[in-house]
Amino acid sequence: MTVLLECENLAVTFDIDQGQINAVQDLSLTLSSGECLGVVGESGSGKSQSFLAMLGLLARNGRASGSVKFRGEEILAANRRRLNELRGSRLAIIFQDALSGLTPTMRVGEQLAEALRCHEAVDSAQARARAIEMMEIVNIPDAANRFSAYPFELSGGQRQRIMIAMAMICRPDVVIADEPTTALDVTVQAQILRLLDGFRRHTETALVMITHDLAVVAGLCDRVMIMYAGRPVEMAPTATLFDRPCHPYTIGLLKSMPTLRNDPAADLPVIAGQPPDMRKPPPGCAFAERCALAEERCREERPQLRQVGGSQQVACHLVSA
Amino acid sequence: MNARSNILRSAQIAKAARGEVSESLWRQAARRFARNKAAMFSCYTLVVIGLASIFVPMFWPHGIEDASWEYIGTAPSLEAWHWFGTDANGRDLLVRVFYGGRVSLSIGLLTTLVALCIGVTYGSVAGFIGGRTDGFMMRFVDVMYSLPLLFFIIILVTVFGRNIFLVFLAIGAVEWLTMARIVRGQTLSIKNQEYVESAEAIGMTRPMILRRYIVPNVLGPVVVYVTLLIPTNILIESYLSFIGLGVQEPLTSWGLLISQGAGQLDSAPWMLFFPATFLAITMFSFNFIGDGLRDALDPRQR
Amino acid sequence: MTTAILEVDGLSVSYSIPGDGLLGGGMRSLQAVNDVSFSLQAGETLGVVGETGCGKSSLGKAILQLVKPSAGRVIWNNRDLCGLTRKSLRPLRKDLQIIFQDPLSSLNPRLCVGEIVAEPLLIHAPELSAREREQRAIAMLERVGLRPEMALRYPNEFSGGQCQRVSIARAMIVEPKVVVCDEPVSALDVSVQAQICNLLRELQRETGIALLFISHDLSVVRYMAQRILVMYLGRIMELAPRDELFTKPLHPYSQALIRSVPVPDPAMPLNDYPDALSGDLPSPLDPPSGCVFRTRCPKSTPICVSQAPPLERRGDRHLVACHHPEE
Repeated sequence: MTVLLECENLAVTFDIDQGQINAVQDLSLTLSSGECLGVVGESGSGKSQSFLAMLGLLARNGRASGSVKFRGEEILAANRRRLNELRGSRLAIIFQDALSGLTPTMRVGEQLAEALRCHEAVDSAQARARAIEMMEIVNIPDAANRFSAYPFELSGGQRQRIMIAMAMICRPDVVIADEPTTALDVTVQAQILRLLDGFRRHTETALVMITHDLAVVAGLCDRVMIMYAGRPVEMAPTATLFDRPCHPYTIGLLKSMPTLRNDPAADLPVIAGQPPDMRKPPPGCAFAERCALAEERCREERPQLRQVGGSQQVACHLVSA
Repeated sequence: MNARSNILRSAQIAKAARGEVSESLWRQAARRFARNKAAMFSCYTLVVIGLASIFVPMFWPHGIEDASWEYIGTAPSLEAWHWFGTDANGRDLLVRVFYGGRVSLSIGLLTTLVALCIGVTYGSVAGFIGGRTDGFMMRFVDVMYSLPLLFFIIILVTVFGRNIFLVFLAIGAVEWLTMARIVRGQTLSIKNQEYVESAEAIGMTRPMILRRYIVPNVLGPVVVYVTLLIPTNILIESYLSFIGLGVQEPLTSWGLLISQGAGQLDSAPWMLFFPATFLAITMFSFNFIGDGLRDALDPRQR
Repeated sequence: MTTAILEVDGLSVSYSIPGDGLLGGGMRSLQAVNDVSFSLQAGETLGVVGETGCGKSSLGKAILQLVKPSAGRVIWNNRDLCGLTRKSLRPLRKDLQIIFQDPLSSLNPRLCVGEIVAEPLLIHAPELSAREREQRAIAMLERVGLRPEMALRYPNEFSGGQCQRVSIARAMIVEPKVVVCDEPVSALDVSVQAQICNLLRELQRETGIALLFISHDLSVVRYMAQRILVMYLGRIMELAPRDELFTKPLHPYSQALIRSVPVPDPAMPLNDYPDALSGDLPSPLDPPSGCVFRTRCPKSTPICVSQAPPLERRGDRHLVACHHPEE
C-alpha cells in the first residue's frame, strides 16, 4: 500500500455576485493504492468541488488553496501541462452525466483509443485493439461493432460504461467517480457498481466514490468520509461508520434513509431544517441549527475533526474520545 | 393582479423587520444591469440626446425652416447661435439635427413598438398552439421574409405616395417577422417546462397561461432584441431617407441630413459630421444597452 | 370497506416520433403506455415503479389528461375523463392534482410563492376575495412547513425541498381527492427526501386523499405505498400489496428490481448480491415480441417469445403478467 494522494487543509472558494463562497474548508485526507474511499454529502456539501479542485478542474471563478500531493509531488500549484499529463493517465475522473462527457460527433471507440494515445506511445491498430478489449471488460455487448457507434446511439448505462472504460484505459492510479450512478436506474446502477468493484479488486487502482447515497457506499467502500457544509464531519472505516456512527448528522442520515428493511408503517425520523446558506455560514458548528443535541458551545465554537477510537474521526463537541 | 398587491402586506412588514430582501428575477437583472458601466453610461447618453431632441427645437432661437441669407453655408461658430453651422439654404444645423433626432428616434421607437406588439402576439400564439396552426403561421412569416424590404417599400410608395406614416408601416411590417420567430422559439421551449404543465393541471385557460406563464418568461430575450431593433430601425429609416424614399423636406431626419451633408462633403463637412456623430452615438448606446441587458438577463450568470 | 374512486381501464398512450423520411414523413409511433388497467381506492397510496422510459410518468399525466391517451378510459365520478373537452375538464381538475419531479422548473419563476399557491383558487374558487385567497395561501404554506413571510419570495430563492413544499401547497390548496406524485422526491437530497415523504403521509392522514406515487426508487415507494404497480416498457408486470410484493415477488422483473436496490449494510458486499439484471432496456420504439421482458429475463422460454402473458390473478389482490411466475 503506497500513499497516492495526500491532501492537506484544502480549501475551495468561489467568487460570486455578492462576494465569496467557501465551498470547501479544512479538508485533509490520504488515499492509498487499492483503497476505496466513499465521500458522502448532500448537494452543496462540497464533496464534488473538493475533488475537482485536486484535479485542477474548478470553474473559472473558483480557487483552491492548501496542499495536494500525488506520490509526493505537489499538484495544486502544478502548471497546466503537468496536470494534463497526470489527468487521464494517472488520475482519472468519471462524471455523473456521461452524455456531456463524451464528444457527440466522434465514435465512442475512437474516443477511447484517443484517450489511450494521448498518454501512451501506441500505434492506431494497437489503440483500437486495446479500446475494444476495454469495451469488452466493461461489458459492452458486441464491442467490435459498437466501436464505431456514436454516443447518442448508446443507452445511458452503456455510455456510463464507456466513461468508465475511458477512465480505466490508461490504468490510472486514482479514479474519482463523481456520482457515477445517480442518473441511472437501479438495475443499471447495480451493474455499474459491480463493474467498479471488480476493477478495484483486480487492480491497484484507488477509487474515490462521491455520492449522496449511503447505501451505494456500504457495499463498495473501505472508508467513508461524510461532508457537511464544506467540511468533513466524520471519517471512518465503512463497517464502523454503519455500526457506530458518531456525528449527529451521520446518525440522522442513516436513520432518515428509507430502506427495504425498516418498518414502512412508522414515520421516517428526519433531520429537520435546511443546510445552511453557504454565503453566510454560521460561526459555530454548521450542523448546530438542525441538531437536536446542540448546546450553546456548538453555536459559538467550530468543532475540529479529531480522533475518536482507533480509526474514526469526528468533528463534534459532544462526542467524547 | 390582485393576489400580488394584497398578498401579505403584513408579511412584507415582517420581512422588512428582519432585513430580508426578496427580489424578483426582473429586480435582480436590474441590479446586475446597474453595475454595467458602459450600459449605464449609454442610458444617460440616450436620455440626454432624447431630452435635447425634444426641448432644444422648442427654445432655440432658430426654427428648422428659418433660412438666413447672411449665413449660407457658414462653418460652426458661436456667433448668431449657429453652433453647428448652417446648410446651403442658411438654415441652422443644430436645430435641424435635434429636430431630425426627434423624427429618427420616434420612428425607431414606434416601429419597434409595432414590431414588438405584432411579433410577440403572433409568435407566442403560434408557438403555444403549435401543430398545424404553427406550421401555417410560420410559413406565412417565411413568405413575408422572402420579400425584399426595399422592393416592398417602393411598392408602397408608388401606390400610396410619399408619406412618413408609410415609413412607419413599412419598417414595422417587416421587422416583426424576426421578433415573431424569436418569440415562437422561446415559447416552444417554455411550453415544455413543467410549470406550464402545472398550470394546465390546475385547469387554467389557455389565454391565461399565455398571459401569466408564457409571455413573462419570453420577455427576457425579447427585451434584448428590442434594444437591438431600435437602432436597426433608425438605420433603416436613415437609409430610406438617404435614397430619397423616407422623410421628405421640410421635415428632416438624421438620414436625410446625412444624405444632404454627404452631397456637400467638400464645401461643408460639418453638415455630414454633426448628424453622423449623433447617429453613431445613438447606435453605439443602444448596442451597449442591448449587450448589458443580455448579460443581466442571462440566467446562467446566477 | 374500500371503494374505488378512480378507475383506469385499458389506458394506452402513444407518441408519434418523426421518422427518417423526408419532410418529416414516416412518423413512427412509440407506445409509452400499453393497455394499463387498475383502480385507485379512496385514501390509499398506489405506488408505480419502473425504470426510466417504462411509461410511469406518461401514465400519471394521461390520467390527468395532460397527455391525450390514445385508447382506454379513466373513470372519475362515473364520467370518462378521456372524452372530455378542456372546458368540461376544468371543474374536475379541482379534485385531481399533480406534483412534479423537478422542484424548481415546476414553479413559474416570475410569480412569487404566495401567488403560485393562491393561483388554483383563482380558477376553482373565483367567489373568494383576494384577501381570503391570500389567507388560505398563507395557511397552506404554514401547513407544509414554510413561514408566512416566505410568500413574497420567488422560487429561485428556495432550496429544492422548499420548492417541493410549495408545489405540494399549490396542489393541496383546492382540497383534491387524488394527487398524482410524479417522482416528487427524486431530485432531493436524502435528508430532505424524508421530510417531504413524511409531509405527504401526514397530509394524507389528515385529508384522506388518494395518492398515485410514481417513483423509480423502490425503498421510497415501499415507505409510501400500500399497493405497488410494477411497470416495464409501458405494461403492467405485477400489481400487489406492498408486503406481498417485497416478501414474495412473483414476476422475475420485480424480483430483479428488488435485488438491485443497494442495501446500506457493509456486511453485504456487492459480490454477494445475486445476479442483477443484465443488459439494458430495449428500445420502446421496437419492443420485443411476446413478453416484453423476455430479452432480460433469466426464465425466458419459447412461449414468452410468441405470446404476451396476460395479467392474471395469483392470490387475493395479487396480479402478475408472466408465463412462469414464481410460486
